[in-house]
Amino acid sequence: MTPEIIFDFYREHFIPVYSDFVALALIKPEQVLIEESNILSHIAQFFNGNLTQDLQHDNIEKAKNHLTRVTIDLNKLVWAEVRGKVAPFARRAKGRLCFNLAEDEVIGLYADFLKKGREARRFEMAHIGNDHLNTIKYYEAVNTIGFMLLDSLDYFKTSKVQRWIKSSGLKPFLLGVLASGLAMAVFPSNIHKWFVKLWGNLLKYLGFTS
Amino acid sequence: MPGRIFQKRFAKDPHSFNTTEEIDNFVKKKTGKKIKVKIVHPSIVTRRGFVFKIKKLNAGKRFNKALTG
Repeated sequence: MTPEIIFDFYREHFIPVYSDFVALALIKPEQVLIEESNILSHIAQFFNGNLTQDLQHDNIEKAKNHLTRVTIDLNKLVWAEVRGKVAPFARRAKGRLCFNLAEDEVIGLYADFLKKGREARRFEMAHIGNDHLNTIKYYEAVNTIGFMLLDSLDYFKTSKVQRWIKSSGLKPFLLGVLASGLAMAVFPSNIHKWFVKLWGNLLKYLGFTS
Repeated sequence: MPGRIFQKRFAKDPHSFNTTEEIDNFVKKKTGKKIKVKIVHPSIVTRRGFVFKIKKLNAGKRFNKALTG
């Protein structure tokens, strides 16, 4: 193995997933810095003329392992970030209205996103120490589903639906009942009289009044 | 395909960057916010190979303090 392979991998797999994570979270994960430090140490050892060729190649292999590890981790972090952004809407019936997709599509995609995430993790665990590239490809495929969901999330709709959710529910309903009761007391009508009589009869029937 | 989220948000192909530093600087320029280093989802990602606790250090500050102290 040569350092060029590592740098190709860095540009092809690591940089894009790192950019995705930064775009989502606007932070740099500490784990990336740690792994970058490890990678540099091993690459430096590859160029250390005092080491045997076997040891130099051993170090370049280790550098690649660190790079694949951090790429897998970043894919997992992207998955977790996407889930954090999508889940509050995808899990609720009203929230699903915020997507520019049919509701059954949102349900299907979100279920697929979770299921394939678990499958990717199982694949990763079953192939520890080998098949890193396929593990990364597995995670990349899962995150493509996540991207479809995230991309169809309409932020204009989300604010509207959130307002709608706030304006519906038990509290506003009780407020409405109270306001209408107050209006009936202030402006009594035949309906009001009939309503009071109905309640009186009901309470009498139940034995609360005589 | 990785990089699509970045492309969608910043309308720039992430493949045009060569290092993480370039990405950090680009995001800083676009958002006006400096990218901070943070431990994220420690339950998902482990700090492999690191047995020591990581401490934040401001080397410049420390050096100045040592000079004046």
